[in-house]
Amino acid sequence: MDLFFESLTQGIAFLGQPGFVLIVLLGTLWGIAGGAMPGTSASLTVGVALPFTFTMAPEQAVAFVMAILVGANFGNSIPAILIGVPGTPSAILTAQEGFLLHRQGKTGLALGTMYISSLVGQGVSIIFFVALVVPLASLAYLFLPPEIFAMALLGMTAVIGLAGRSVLKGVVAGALGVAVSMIGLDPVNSTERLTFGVLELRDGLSTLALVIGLLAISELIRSTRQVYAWAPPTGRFNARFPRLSELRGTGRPLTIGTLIGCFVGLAPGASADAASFVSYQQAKASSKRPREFGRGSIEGIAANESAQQACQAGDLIPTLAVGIPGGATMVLVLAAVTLQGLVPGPLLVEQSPELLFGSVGGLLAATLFLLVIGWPLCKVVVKVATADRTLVLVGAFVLALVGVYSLQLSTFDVMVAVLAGLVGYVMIRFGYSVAAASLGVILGPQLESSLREGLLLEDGNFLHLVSRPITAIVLVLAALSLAYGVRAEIRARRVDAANQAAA
Amino acid sequence: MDKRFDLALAIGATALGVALYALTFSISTGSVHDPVGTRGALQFVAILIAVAGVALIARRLRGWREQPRLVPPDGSSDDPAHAASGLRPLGIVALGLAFALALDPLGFLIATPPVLAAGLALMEVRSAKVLVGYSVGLTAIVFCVFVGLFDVLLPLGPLDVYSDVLWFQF
Repeated sequence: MDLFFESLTQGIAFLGQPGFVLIVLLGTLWGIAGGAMPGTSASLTVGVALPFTFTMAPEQAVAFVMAILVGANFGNSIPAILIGVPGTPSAILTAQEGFLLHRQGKTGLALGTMYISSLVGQGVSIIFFVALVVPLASLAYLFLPPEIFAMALLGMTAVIGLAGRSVLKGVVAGALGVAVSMIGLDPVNSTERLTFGVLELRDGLSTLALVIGLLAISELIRSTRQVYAWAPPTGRFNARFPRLSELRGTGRPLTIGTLIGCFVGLAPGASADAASFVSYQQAKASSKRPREFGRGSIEGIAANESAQQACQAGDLIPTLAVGIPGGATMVLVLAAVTLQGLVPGPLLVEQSPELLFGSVGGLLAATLFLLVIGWPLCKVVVKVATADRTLVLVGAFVLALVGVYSLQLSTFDVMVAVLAGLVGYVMIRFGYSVAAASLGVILGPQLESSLREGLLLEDGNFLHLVSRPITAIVLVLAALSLAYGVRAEIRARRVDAANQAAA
Repeated sequence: MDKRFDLALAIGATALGVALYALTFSISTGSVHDPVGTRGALQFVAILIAVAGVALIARRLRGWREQPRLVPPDGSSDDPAHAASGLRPLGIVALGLAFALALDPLGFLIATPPVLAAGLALMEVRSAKVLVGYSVGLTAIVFCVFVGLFDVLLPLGPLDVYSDVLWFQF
């Protein structure tokens, strides 16, 4: 309980530090701008900015990344409503409902619902985050190497099973990431592995360069396949803030969205896209006006927006409490942590509580910024959304490369990032999960060292290792998440086959 | 998604797994012996890649003749409203590698504008004003931010003689 209140009070205390507040403000604005640009994913927005965190203190770095994510989830809905193009996939349903309202002349109502729902979803989920992360983190003493191995494996299988379309391709991607992480010196014997006599490979490939390449540069490379510009919003629009009476009926979908967002976010591998779709369906099923869904429904916007904001705090819980990121953006959060010299894992919060405080402070400050500047920014952000896409892509590409260079002043790292970007691009095109590959890069060393230490602990008996109670439970969950992924894939392929036959 | 490329990638994954497995035998076992050893984890991962690759090949080949050349995508697909180029991304990658190679010998201020301009040209920007203005302007801004704000000593190449002036701090 002490840590619970301490997290909140320390988080609030950060709001009194001008440097911290400035960093969060910059992160929020960066996130809003990145989120507002159609085709720019949250991973890309965070990935390009990640190298900037190397000059920050750990709590500032985490708060900066949190602020970017909060901003991105807010910014992605503004072009969704005003030009019908979602900044990121999780705002697709907001685009469906909001753009219809905009065309009906109810722009203010759509934007206002989005603004309030985002704030409520975000605000409530912060409490949820602290309430769950603290007890989970306090269980860290139960985690010895065998349990850490099982948790890392669960993180991998969850992302492979729940996030990708093909489990087999996810396995290849994840295993490739783990293999790449093993280049360099063996953790026990210090013998060289896969270095081929290249001096730069002795210390292994830079985790940051690989992760930025796989998650951000790959996105940029993919985006250059097509050259086009987003159309600006047509005609003038009135964005008057809606009266409370106009928002009647949004309480229920807002609650549904917030709760579903928090819990879906908890599951490793589940994304804001999934949270917003499930919330939308549930809000529609429980609505008194279900026929309005798909025709410009503020209830649909409320469910979608609150879910995608709440999901983020839920996503943070496994990331910080047990060191298992739930998806690509959380891999980048852990990458920011490793950049600070900290080791991801169940002991992360116990050993570095400032990360927890910084996260809470970052989420709180970013939410307050949205409260103050979110509404006035709506009109400005649409200009960002319609900025020249070509200039943004090429500029972001060079910025990402300079960022990678600045980490260790190494042009070798830049080459690694570009080549990882190329590999990531091919993976994205053919359905090999880049999230699984980057997670493999981050968790690979932990997987290997905890397995080896765990086996030493159990006198080399693998059966003893996997039959430890917590380890066994976590391994069963890992197997279940893979089984779920296989089942979902079989279903999706049957639907594809039926569609093909029908065509 | 072209099923032939998908098959080629599955074959590539299998080959990678096999090659990785073979390579593990060149790793020294070291002096400290533990149940997994220096090769064990890597060998397991290599087998996993190879087996998953074989399964992907088998899945792709099943019903190969009945399937059309373009099958439902597993990954991301292009916006059908706009023409797509598969060569442009490769051009961007080549530019990225060229930038990495040129950064130390030419320095940031000389290497970056041509890379930016070439990137824009690849993206079909034809206005000389935009090509030059954006490339030079963004280079200057990025240089000022990294050197002046973050204290990152970006390489200067031949301009190193002016380092007293150029490596400034806000």
